[in-house]
Amino acid sequence: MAELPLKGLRVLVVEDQYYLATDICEWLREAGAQLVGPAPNSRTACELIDAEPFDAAVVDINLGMGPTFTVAQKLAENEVPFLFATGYDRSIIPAEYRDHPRIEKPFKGPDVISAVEALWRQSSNAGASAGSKTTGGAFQT
Amino acid sequence: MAQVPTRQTDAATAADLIDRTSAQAALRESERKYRFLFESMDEAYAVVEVLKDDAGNWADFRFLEVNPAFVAHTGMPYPVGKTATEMLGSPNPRWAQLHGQALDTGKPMRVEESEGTLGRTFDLNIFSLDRERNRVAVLFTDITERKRQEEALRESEEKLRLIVESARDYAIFTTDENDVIDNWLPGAESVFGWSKAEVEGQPAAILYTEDDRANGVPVQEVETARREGKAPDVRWHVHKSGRMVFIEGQVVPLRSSEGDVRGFLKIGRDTTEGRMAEDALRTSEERFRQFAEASLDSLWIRDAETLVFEYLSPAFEQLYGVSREQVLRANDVKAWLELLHPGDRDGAVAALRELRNGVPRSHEFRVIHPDGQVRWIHNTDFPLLDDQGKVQRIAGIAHDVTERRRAVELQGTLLAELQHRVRNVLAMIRSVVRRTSSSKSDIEDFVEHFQGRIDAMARTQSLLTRTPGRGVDLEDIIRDEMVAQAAQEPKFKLSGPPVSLAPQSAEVLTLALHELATNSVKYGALGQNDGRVAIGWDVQRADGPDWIEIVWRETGIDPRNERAPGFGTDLITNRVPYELSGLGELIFDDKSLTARIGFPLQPGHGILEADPTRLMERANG
Repeated sequence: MAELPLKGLRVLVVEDQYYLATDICEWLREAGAQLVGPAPNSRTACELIDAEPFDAAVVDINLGMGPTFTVAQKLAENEVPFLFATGYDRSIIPAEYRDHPRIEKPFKGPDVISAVEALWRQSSNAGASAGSKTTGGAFQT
Repeated sequence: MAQVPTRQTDAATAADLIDRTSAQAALRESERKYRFLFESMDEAYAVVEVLKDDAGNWADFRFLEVNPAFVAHTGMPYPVGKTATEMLGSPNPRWAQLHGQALDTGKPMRVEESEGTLGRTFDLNIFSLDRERNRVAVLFTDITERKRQEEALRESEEKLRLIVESARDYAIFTTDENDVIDNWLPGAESVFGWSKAEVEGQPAAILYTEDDRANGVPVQEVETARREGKAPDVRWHVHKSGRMVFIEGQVVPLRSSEGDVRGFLKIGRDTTEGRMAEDALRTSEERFRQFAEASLDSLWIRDAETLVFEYLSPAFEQLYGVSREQVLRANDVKAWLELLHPGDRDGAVAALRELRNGVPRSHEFRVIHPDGQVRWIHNTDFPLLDDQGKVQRIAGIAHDVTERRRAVELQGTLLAELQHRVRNVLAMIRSVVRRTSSSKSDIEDFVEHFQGRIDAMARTQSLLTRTPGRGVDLEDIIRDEMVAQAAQEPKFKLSGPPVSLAPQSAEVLTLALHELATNSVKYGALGQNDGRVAIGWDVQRADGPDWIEIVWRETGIDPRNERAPGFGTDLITNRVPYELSGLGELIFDDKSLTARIGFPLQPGHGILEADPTRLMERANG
C-alpha cells in the first residue's frame, strides 16, 4: 500500500460552510492527515490555534461576514504555514498575505491534498533555516 | 557915492564879470553833466552831419560824435570823422534819407530799421540838431535780439496753434470767468460734436451729465481750479448726440497780468475706448471671478517661481477642511503639503515640479481634514505661460473625487463578492451533488432530490434579491417551501411573530425546511390524509443576540413509514449547529416527528455577506 501523502501531518481547517468543511476534512483525513477543527468562524479558529498543536492550516477568507484576515494574521504570527481556500480573487488579499498559496473554489479533493503537500514541503525547507516554531509533523520529504 | 564913481563902474564891471564867469561855470557844469550822461547811458547816441550828393539829394552822413555805447550797439569801430559809406563799405541811402527827412521836417522821428551790412535791427530816434549845418542826433538801440525772440515766439505760437487745432483726440477750449465757453478749438468739436458756432456762448455745464450738473460738479471744478491752480476733470461727459464720452483732463485758471482769473482753460483727452475696454476687462474679470468663486471645484493659481498661492477659490475650504486664511497666512508650499496624506506628498511635489517645467498633468492625492476625515482630491494642473512662452504661473482645478473613488472601490468589492459567491455556490452544488449521490442508487431518485435541493437554494436567492439590502421574512421562506410542495392550509399551520433573518441563516433554514417538507410528502404527514404539520417559532431574549427557536411538528404519521437518517438529518443536526452556532434535533416517535432548530439571530441583512463600506475601510487602511 502506497504511503499516504499527508501521513501524520496535523492540519487545521477553517471553513464556515459545513459541507465544504466536512469535504475538506474527509479528503485530508483520507490522505493521512490528522484534523484540527474544522472551525466555522474566526473565534473558534483562534481558540484552536491557541489550544492545539498543528503543522499547517487551510483557511477560508470569508467566514460568514465578508473577507477576514484575523485567522491569517494569527497564523502568520505563530509562523504556521497556511493556504487560502477561497472563492475570492487574489486582489482582495492584503499584500502581507498575498504570497500564501491560494486554491480557488470550487475545488476537488486532489487539489486540496496536493496544495497542502506543497505547502508543507516548502515550509519545512524554509523552516530548517528560519527555525520555525511549528510542531514539526511526521511528514518528511 | 559921487566921490567914488570909478569904484561904482568898477563894481558894475566886476559884477558883470562875475556874472559872466558864473554863467560860464554853469555852462561847464551843464556840459559836464551832459557828457557824463552821454558817456554812461545804455542807448547808443550819435551826432551826424547829413550829406547831399551832387543832385542835392540826401545821400550819406558823417559821424561827428558818438558815445561809448555806440560801438556796442553797432559792432562798428569808432566812427567819428568817417562817413557811413566809409564805415559800412557801401552807401546806405535809406538812412541818409531818414536823417534828411528829420532835418527837412524839423520833427523828431522814431523808426525801426534793419541795417543789412551790419545784420542788425535798430530802434532809432532821430532829432534835428542844427538845420544850418545839417546836423542830426540819433539815439538808438540794437533790437536785433528782441526782434529775433519776438519772431521765435510768433513762430512757436503759430506751431502751437497748429498742434492744438489738429489734436482731434484732445478737447481744448476756454471759458470766461463765468465758465461760459468763449473759445472752442477743432479738437473739442471732434470730441463733443458741437461746432464752434453752436457752443460758443453756452455754459460749459452742457458738456456734463445730468447727474453731475445736478450735483454741481461743473462749478466745483472751476472753483477748485481757481483755488488750487488746477482741478482734475476725469469723468463721463456728454456728446452732442447724447452718447457718453469719457474725458481725462484738467481745468486751469487763466489769469490776467494782474493775477485776476479771467477764465479757464480746459484740456481733456477722449479715453472712451480705453475706458470701455477697461470696463469690458473688469466685467470679464468679474465674470471669471464669480465663476471661480461659485465653483464647487477649487481653482488655484501659484507663482511658478515661489509656488505661493496667487489665487485660491473658496471651494478649497470644503475640499481641504481648513480655511483659506490658514493656508495663505504662511503661504509656502510646505504649509499646503502638510494638509496632504504623508504617503502622497512626494507625488504632489513631483507633480509641481513637472508643472513648473511646463508639463500639464492630472493626479490624485489624499488630504486629511482636521477631524481626521480622509478625502481624495483630483487635481487637473496646467502651466500658464508668459509672452516668451516661459512658465510664469501654474494653475489647477481641484475636484473632490472621494465619492467616485468610493464608488469604484465599491464596484470592485461587489465584483469580488460576486466572484466569491458564484464560486461558493458552485462549490456548494458540487458538495450537495456528492452527498445526494452517495445515498441514491437510482438515477431518477437522484435527479429528483438534487433538483429539489437546487430549487430550495434558488428560492433563497430569489428571496434575498426580492428585498435587497434587507433580511428575509421567515414566514415567506416557510410558505414558499410549502407552495413548492403543493401543500395547503389547513394541512399545515404556521404561528409565530414576524422575524427577519440574516441571509446566511435564511439559506441554511430554507434547505432544512425543504428536507423536512420533501420527507414529509414522501413519508410523513404531508403525504397522508390525516397528517398535519404545525410550524411554530418564537424569539427569546438572550445575553447576546436574540435566540430564535423553530419547531416543526408532524402528527398523524403512518408508523410503517421508516426513514433512514440521511441528507436532511445531517443538515439539521450538524449543519445548523456548525454554520449558525445553533442547535438542531430530530425526535421521532410512533406517530409524530418533531424537528427543533434554534440559533442566534444575527444582525446584518445584506444580500452580500460583506458590508462594502467596512471592506473599503480595510482596503484603504
